[in-house]
Amino acid sequence: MDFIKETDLPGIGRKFSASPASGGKIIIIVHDDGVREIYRYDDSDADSEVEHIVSFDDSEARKIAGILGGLAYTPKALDNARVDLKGLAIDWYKLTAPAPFIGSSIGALGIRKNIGVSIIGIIRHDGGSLVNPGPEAVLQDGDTVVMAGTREQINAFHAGARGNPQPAS
Amino acid sequence: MEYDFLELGALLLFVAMSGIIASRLKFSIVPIVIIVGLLLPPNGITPYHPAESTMDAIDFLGRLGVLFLLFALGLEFSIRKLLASAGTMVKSGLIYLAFNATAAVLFTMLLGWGVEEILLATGIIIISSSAIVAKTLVDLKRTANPETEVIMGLMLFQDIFMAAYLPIVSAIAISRGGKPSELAISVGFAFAVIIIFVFISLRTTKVLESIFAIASEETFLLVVLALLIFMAGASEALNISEAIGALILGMIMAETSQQERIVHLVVPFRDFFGAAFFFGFALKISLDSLLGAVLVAVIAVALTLAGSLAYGFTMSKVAGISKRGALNLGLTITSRGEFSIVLANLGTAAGLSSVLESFSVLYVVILAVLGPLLSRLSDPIYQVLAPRLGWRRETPKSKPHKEIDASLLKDKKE
Repeated sequence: MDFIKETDLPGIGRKFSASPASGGKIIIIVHDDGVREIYRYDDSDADSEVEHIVSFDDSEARKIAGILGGLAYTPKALDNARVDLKGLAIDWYKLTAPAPFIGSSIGALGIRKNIGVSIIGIIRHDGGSLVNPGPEAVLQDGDTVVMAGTREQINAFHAGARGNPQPAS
Repeated sequence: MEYDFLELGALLLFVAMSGIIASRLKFSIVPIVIIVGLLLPPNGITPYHPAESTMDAIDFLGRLGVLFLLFALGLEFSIRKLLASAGTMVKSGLIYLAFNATAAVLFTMLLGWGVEEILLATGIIIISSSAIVAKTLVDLKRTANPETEVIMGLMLFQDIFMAAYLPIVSAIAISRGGKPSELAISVGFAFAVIIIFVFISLRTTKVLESIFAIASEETFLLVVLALLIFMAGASEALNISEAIGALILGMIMAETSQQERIVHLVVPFRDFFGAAFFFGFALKISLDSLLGAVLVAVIAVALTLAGSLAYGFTMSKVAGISKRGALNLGLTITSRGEFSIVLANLGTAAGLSSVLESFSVLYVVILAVLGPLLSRLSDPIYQVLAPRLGWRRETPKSKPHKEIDASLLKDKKE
């Protein structure tokens, strides 16, 4: 059985049901307006109520996603470089001169539009970090760019950052 | 009157006031603005008559409202997406129609209404307000419930039903009094226009994409609004209703990658002009004529409740939903609103019996308030009903402590 099941809720958003191996069921609703809600559901009891646990707005949800994805603090047991979830991946790339992206803002590069990956964080060369940077954030030499996207999109980002761009899909 | 804007502005202040009341009461604006419109001149409790030019202006704002409502409806469904989920939706939709359309047709036949009135009243009775339903589910934090998938699927089915039903009704409205053969031709023509447009747009997605890939928000807005009004005018000229033109444009644009951007852009227009539409519609109805429709509206409300619950409990068997979910399902879908009024307005435009508009106003006001209220009360209702009807709470199975299955974990890591 799939770990995560997706269903459309036309007019509301999208529903993700996850059944962790440790039991129970978690439902995440991504609303079209950006709100994320997390619910708990006991599927062993057909009559049980779905229990609302917490709601996040868009920027809160991204921060929480960073923590769950191991970006803020990587669990010591898992030292693998990228996180893969059924074709969706989170990865990071260190920009070193003369990478073509250096000196331009995320918006000017049109990274989400042209490549498809979302930049979810930047770790500056001096150790400072930027969670969920806006389009105005400028990429600098020595930055580690943290991104989420499909494997193809991430590969396209790597290729672009190395100076040999290729189409995302 | 020399002051063109004073009267119009004063009336719009009442619309704004309705909005404030609605958000305070956490209701949809639709029933509130209708009630306020009913109470105001020219037919309300005061003898004051607004100038004709003011009424014309309100009328025009309202016509724009209908365009935006249907444009937004068209934007909500992309043909590609629909085809993907067609199977389950059609089954659930047909069950819904079997209960509710049948009841509506039989009831209006018993009232001795004409064929056109029956057809229109059926639509008014069976189309839920997807806006109110979605808002209720979000407010009550029921979006994750199993029955919500069924509810929103049904709303989508109703949207499609509306898109197919509207050309029929508007063709009937336009060729009213004509021979059945003329009627069939104008219905067929309306459908042909829709199909041709949608087919072309599916084939020319690349061209459309390049047309709508406009970076400037200002230019984009101008293009979308101009196209909307022009499409409405063009379909008027083709003798299919202006509303259909707006619907078609919405469906075409839903296929492009700009869909989300357009929705974002259009919603404020839909909200403003839509409110003006509901207000203007109610403004023209006299309080006296409402009295004659009270009984009909109350019976229709009862039928709607019964039909919706029957659908809810049938679907609970089909989709494996608990009794509690079935009750939520049945009660939530009873909300009525914007599209019932759009249909009633078509009837008025076609010169159908005025009982239809008084009926629909009462029916919508009752169910736009009662629907969300009943959804909210569905839990207490369940607590009362469950022991009486023998829906025993399934005894929670004693849950053995689940050991974390090591082999499963390994699987997940890939």
